[in-house]
Amino acid sequence: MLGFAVRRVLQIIPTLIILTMILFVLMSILPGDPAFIRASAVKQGRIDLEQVERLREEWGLNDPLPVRYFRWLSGVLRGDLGRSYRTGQDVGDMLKERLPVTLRLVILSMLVAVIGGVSLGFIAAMHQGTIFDLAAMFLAVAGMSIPEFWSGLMLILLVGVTWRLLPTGGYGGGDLAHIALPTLTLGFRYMALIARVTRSSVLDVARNDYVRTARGKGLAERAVRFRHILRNSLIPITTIIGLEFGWLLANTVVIEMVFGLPGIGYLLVMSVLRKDLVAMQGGILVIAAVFLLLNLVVDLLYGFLDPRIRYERKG
Amino acid sequence: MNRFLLAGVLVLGLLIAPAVIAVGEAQPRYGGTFVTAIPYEEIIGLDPLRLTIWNGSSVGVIIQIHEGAVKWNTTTLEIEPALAESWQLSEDARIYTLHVRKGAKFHNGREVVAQDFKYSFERMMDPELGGLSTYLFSGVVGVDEYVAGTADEISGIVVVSASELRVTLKQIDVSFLHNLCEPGAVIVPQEEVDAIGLDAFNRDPVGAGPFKFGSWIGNEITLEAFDGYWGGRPYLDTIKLAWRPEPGAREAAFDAGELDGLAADPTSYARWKEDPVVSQHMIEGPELWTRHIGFNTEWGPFRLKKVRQAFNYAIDKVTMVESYLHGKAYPATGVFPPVMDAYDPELKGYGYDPEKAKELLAEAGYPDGFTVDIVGDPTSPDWGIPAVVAVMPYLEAVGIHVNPIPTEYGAMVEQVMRGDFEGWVDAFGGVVSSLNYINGFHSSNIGTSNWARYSNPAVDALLDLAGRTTDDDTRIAYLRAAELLIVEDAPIWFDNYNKAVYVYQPWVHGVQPCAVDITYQDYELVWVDDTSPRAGG
Repeated sequence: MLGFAVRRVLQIIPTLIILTMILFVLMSILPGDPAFIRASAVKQGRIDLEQVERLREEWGLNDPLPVRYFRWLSGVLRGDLGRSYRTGQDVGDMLKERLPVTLRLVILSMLVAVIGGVSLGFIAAMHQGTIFDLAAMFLAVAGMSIPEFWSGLMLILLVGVTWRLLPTGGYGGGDLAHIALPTLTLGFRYMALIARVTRSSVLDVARNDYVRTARGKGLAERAVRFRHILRNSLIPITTIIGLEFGWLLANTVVIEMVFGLPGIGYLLVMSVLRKDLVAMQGGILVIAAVFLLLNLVVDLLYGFLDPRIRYERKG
Repeated sequence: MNRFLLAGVLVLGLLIAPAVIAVGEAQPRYGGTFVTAIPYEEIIGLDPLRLTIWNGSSVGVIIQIHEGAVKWNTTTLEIEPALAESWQLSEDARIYTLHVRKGAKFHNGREVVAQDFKYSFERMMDPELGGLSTYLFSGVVGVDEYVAGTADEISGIVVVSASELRVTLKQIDVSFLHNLCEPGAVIVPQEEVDAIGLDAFNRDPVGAGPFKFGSWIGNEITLEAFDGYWGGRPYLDTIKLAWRPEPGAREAAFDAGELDGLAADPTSYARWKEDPVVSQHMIEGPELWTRHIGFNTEWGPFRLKKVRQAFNYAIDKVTMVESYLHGKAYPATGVFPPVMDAYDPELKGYGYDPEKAKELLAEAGYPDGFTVDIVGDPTSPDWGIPAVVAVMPYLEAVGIHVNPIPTEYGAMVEQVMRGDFEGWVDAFGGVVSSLNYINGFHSSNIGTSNWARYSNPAVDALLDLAGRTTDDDTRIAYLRAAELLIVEDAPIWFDNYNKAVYVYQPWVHGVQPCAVDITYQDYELVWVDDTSPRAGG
């Protein structure tokens, strides 16, 4: 099992390299010269062509693509992610400031989504056909259909303006009051999906023979539900969690914009818009690494949940 | 008896009168916290070196912490003394002598001296530091040698004494003092920069402005009143500026009472105009932006003046401003918005006359109209593609078929400067000097700021004359004459001037319609009364 984990961690490295290489090529194909864009940001219409040339030299934009990529890569291996074209700040510092915000949002949202979704789906399945089941599934469909920027704004208006219960935005140093609404908004949609999948999975598992056997043995209903039904239905649920996790990461951008949170999402959007190649590469590198690591955690969780997989991996 | 009674009544009257007057007029109160949200991009730094004037968020904060030699009066845009208390111009108008204000201090307690001016100006031009606003001082004698590295100071900036600085320009620049008002020209203390380095200074600056830097956590910057400010301690104790990109969220925050003041955007303006409370606490005024659709005067139909004029007659901009922008703009007559000194109230501009437009098109040889591609920012409703889409029906009605092409701004700039385009939509302005405002129409700027590739020798001559005239009235006359010719030639469609709107809570006093940008409030004039939830003690 440990060997498996180590192998997977090592696999992440070539994945990241290939990813950043592809990205590098893509961004250089797209129109727009970063030096030009930066110089045009200085004084409207009054672009200093000498300044453009100077910036191109300083940023090494006149060198061939492979040279530029390896220069960036060797910088990364030394721990230097370069300086943002847009702000002039060290990219490593920028990411260090922003990553905790996004991570906090993502992890809390995931917790809300998983705990809320699994509970909702499980209870709905156990009371299949009742009004509770119908209500739960209606909620789930609503959650999956409603775009987060709308639900986010609605929450702000309701909770922040009408009821004045929570602040309407900002990060406020990361306290619960400020992170509550963004987490609920982001988590709600994800929770809806998990609830549906949980419900189907649980219903499926509940139909199995071994469940009937367990009941027949005289096992308490509670034990049947948790030790047999829930545990076995977690496997497909975990798959979904892993797959949809990338979506969750991507959607932090919207939430960060709506609530004004200083996270990585906004950084990435602005970097793409301003062709800030350095910040973009650094940002995507970090996000991709986070994504791959979290996927790894999900994979390892399989081993924990399903002994069959554990034995497979030993070999 | 009567005399004493009369005297007694008079004395009583004199005692009561001031109390009556004081109750009628609210007195500024010291103390309190002011919270506002910044609508533009996130704040990227507080050192003017790496600042670009387009990062409105950063500028809004920088001007509270730092101060320059001179500054613009917020409402009249006249140049006023700041860290320089007076100045003289030589006979040939090339030499500026600035007198440093006595007793002006930096936040660290040290007095500001002429050497600080020299240091601050030179650091912007230092090629190793990568300052972006080099255009501010590129006209100073000795700059080229400094930038090339053959001189280690700018010879044209001379510290005559601790309180006197002399700056010599290569040639007359009537806008030079405006340059000194820009945020890129603020005065910073060298010892503080050297002590912590550029990166740290960018996040933790020291200046000579009315507010000191407090903290920067995430998106929120806190500033504190500077007791030693030469203009007197500001009324407010603290200002908090947070960046909130989503307009709906900003509105919600204001409605919830979390924000003390906020610049409104068109949709919130429409709503707040009708609100009985908010409409009483709203200031509006023109800002320095002229929105337009520009024509490549070297391409196809746009080569002909009649076609360009037809474009101007075809669109009912008054209705557009009312219905599309909810009244949050002023229809444009010419180049200059109403708040500028060169604005001509007599200038008529183009009215809405679709019949005339069709006539002109036919005369020009396009009786069936023509098709044109217009590039622009994909999202801005005021100066981007949505504005083009809004006026397309008017143009269609006279036969001009428009293809709106959403283009990322940087890419558009590149394209336009190359001349590889037909039409574009944008806003120009953002400068206080009227000469600089209109200079984009000078033919020498084709390939840089003259996007329309417009060339009129008469206009060039007038602008050159204006550039050499130090007498304000004469210069304005030249500029107005040039504007008249430009309007006649119509190298652009004159759309509207931005109307800036600022809303504030009932407990806030002292906000003003700042013409440069309404978010650049003079917070040292703002105060809150004790009905504020953040009134402090």
